[in-house]
Amino acid sequence: MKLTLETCGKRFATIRGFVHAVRNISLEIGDSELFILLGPSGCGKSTLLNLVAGLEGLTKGEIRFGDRIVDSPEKGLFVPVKERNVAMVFQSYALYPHLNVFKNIAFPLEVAKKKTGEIKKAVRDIARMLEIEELLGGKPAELSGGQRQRVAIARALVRRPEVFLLDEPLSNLDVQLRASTRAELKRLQRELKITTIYVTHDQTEAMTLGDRIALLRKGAVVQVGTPEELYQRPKTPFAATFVGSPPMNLIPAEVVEEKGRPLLTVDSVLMELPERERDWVRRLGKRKVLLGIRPEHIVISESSGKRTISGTLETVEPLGREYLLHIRVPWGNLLVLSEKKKAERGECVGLSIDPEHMRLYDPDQKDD
Amino acid sequence: MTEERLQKLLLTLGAFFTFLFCLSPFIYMLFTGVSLRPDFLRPDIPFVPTLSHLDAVLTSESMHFLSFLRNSLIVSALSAILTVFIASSAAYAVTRLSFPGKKFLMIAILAISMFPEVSIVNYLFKLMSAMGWINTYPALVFPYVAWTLPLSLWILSSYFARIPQDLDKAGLVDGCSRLRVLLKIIFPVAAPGIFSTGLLAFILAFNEFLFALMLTTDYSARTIPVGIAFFQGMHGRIPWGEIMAAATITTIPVVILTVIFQRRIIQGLTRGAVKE
Repeated sequence: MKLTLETCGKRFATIRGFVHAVRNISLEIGDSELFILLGPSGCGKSTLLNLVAGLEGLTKGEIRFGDRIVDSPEKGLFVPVKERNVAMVFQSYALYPHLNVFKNIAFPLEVAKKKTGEIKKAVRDIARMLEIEELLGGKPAELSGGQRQRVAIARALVRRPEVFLLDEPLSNLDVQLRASTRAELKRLQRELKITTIYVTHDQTEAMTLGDRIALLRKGAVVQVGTPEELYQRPKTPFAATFVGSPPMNLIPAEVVEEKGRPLLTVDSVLMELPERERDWVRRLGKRKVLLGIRPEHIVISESSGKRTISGTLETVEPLGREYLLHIRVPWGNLLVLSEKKKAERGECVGLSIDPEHMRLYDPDQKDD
Repeated sequence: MTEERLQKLLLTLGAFFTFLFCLSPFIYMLFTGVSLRPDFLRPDIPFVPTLSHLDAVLTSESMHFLSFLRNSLIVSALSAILTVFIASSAAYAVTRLSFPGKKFLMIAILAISMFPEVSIVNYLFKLMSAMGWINTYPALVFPYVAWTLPLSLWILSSYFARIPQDLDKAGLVDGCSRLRVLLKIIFPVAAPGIFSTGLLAFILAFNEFLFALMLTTDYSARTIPVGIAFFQGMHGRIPWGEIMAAATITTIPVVILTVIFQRRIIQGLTRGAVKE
């Protein structure tokens, strides 16, 4: 089922006035898509999830499930959560501690007054799918974190919801378990073909899991796109530094005109501008810009030349396959990924930037 | 002697004397209740055990002890059940819903609970007379509910506040109404807190004296604390044996309740004391 969010807004009244948790967000989530809401804490991603679930009501805009309007304050429409056929998984698992695993999974079916035989079969089926059949008799307190999250997922999926919502479901698990559960979630989602919204603050999770990602900041959408788009063409400095690990370098640069074509200077080193950015630079009409470059697109040479920035190697972090080098430059620090160590600590190095991979940003640009 | 052993010894001695200090009135009560001569603690009077006081208390029509006991149990149980039901519903609302003036409301409730009983007992008497409820169960149950409600609400609110809100959300998403979330999820999860609050409300009502004294006139509604107090004037002497025997029997229901709910209560009282 397709999900449509149109100019959605949510504000909360507090003692200190209104807090705008969600501002003017419009999104379209395709049928059986795995859609990620990514952002730092407090960016409104969980609120947005609650709005889709119907745990909160919009103060502005409209949400549609397919063609059915489920929330529209302008039209005075609000479909309560229990009539939306959504399922949700929480970071805290939120299993019912007084019920055993079987009863936990069966709970939504019992509330829906399904027949006992039907409930038993549905619970067994989903338990087999998630490989938790032998846990059915236990209480939540007796399970490990990973097992609890599987039970929570089983409880959410047992009644075949139309929309599947996950609120940081893997954040409480350790790294290895997180990776394996992530892969399994993706497989399950593909198998069941349920439209899914997944909230996370972890960009790795977002990149590996999502069909598409919406990056949020301060209640507004910064950028929507596939993981590749977000990685290769981040729209704002925030998107550039939030997605990707290690983050993109942002270098203060100046635009200079030479023989009628714009060039870039970084720390008085002249650089070519990529073809595609020239028009943008002309239109911007400013001298100061921010140059974004991923750590893997900076090349280190031992000697410094005319077209290289010089810096001092400060720290070397071996990452296994490659090294992450922290390089001290006059305006701050640069991160460089390199397959070889190239230099020792304290040595001077020259850095050259491939114009093809440059991204340019207006330093005064707002994210929303 | 090592420091460790000294510590252990002091701890044991301290525990023993505290225990003795707390329990000695009850031991005295127990022995007086079954002694032929109530002043048996004097060295020249030997302790002769007898069940005559107990027998008198339980069988004597004129003492109405069994009526008092029944009244006490009914009034306290009704008060406790009503209090817990109202307080837990209110605590759910206070911890889960946002409405203006919540903090002020809670502080006001706390302040009201500090009013001394004496300050309203006269008015209460006039009210109950006008209603024609003097010497009936409602005359006691309603004031008791009002009197224990603030404390119960505060205890349950702090208890409910520790139940993660994600449980409510999960329940709502799974198709429950708010009421159903309360009955099917929050109540069972909060059972230890609810039981200990209920027991507290029961004991407060069970021990209450002033309202019971003012609002009842005879055995058809009079509760045990007042009933036992009136033993003194009945036959022109102070019947210590009967008083103590009656008091002994009176402690039994509370002890039984505590033993039955012991595990739940200990969970309730200690939960949240340390970081979980």
